[in-house]
Amino acid sequence: MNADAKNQDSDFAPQSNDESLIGPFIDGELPMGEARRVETLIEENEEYRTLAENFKKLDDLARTSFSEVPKVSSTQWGQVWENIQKEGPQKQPQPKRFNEWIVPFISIAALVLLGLYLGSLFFGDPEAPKSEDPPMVQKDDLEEVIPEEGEESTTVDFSG
Amino acid sequence: MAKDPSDQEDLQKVREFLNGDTSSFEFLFDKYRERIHSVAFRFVKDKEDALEVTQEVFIRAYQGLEKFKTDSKFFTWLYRIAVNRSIDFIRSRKARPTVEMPHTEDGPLSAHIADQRIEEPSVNTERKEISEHVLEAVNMLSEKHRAVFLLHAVEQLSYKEIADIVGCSLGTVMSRLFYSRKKLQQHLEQTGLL
Repeated sequence: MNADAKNQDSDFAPQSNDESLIGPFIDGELPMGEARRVETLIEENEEYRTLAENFKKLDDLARTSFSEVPKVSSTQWGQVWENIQKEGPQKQPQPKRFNEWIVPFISIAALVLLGLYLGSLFFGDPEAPKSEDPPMVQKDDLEEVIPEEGEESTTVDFSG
Repeated sequence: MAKDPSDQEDLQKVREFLNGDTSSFEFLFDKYRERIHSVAFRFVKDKEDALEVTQEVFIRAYQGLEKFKTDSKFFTWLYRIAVNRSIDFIRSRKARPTVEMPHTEDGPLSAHIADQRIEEPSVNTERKEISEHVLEAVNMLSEKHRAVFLLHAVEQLSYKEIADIVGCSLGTVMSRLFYSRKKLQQHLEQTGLL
């Protein structure tokens, strides 16, 4: 922004704190006590009075000038609504109730499973054979049981 | 927290929509479509363009309603989308060389705008002339000043609502409004309207 533009902009800035309150006063945006004080200022100061009148006039002019908006037919609104539905989310929004219970449920289930796993690690029987351990007795060992004296030889069939 | 019955009704519809009832959004669309179209029209100054912006606003709201914080007002949230989309639309239109705004060679830009707006041939000439000057003056404001001024003077929103929509402090709303009024006052004094 060049110096001229800056100077020009400063022309539109409030010259005092009181001046900056004239707009909020006419807009009804000031608290009661402050509004009374500014009202007295406006009554006593002609410059402020003119400013307040001009601000009110400006608002009225703008409201009148911008009041006319072309009508949109119900057919056009219908088309807009159709387009909104087409462009909208592909899937319907998930009911919130589902989101409310599924996350805690999965979290609790995961915690329980983790607890069971850790429990088995810490409190399980260390002497118990692991599933990967070879059986104490091998299949081949049992295929033929050597008979005691006076007994017939027996073959154990593992095939079936 | 929203205490106004209309705001409460909006929040109820938002909750229903988030719980899977899509017809609730149609209720919100029917309730606010005219107002959003008016806001958009005041920025983009063309009926069809304003309709396009309105459609975009509701699509964004439809897709992003989960992001809406229910401790604020629904219409303030919707207005914010409308103002931002309107400003984006104007910028994109400026960036598009094929779509041109009417030139000032055949008369003031505002005259074209006024012609588009006021279709009735019997409209009072003096009033039309005043409107042209006001539109021209408002168009001279920057986007941020124009947004605050229009939301205040035309939409008649409170400073707090404007601050929520524009995303600035109350002090900024006050200073932008003061600046806009002073600038408009200067312009309209030159044309003899003030």
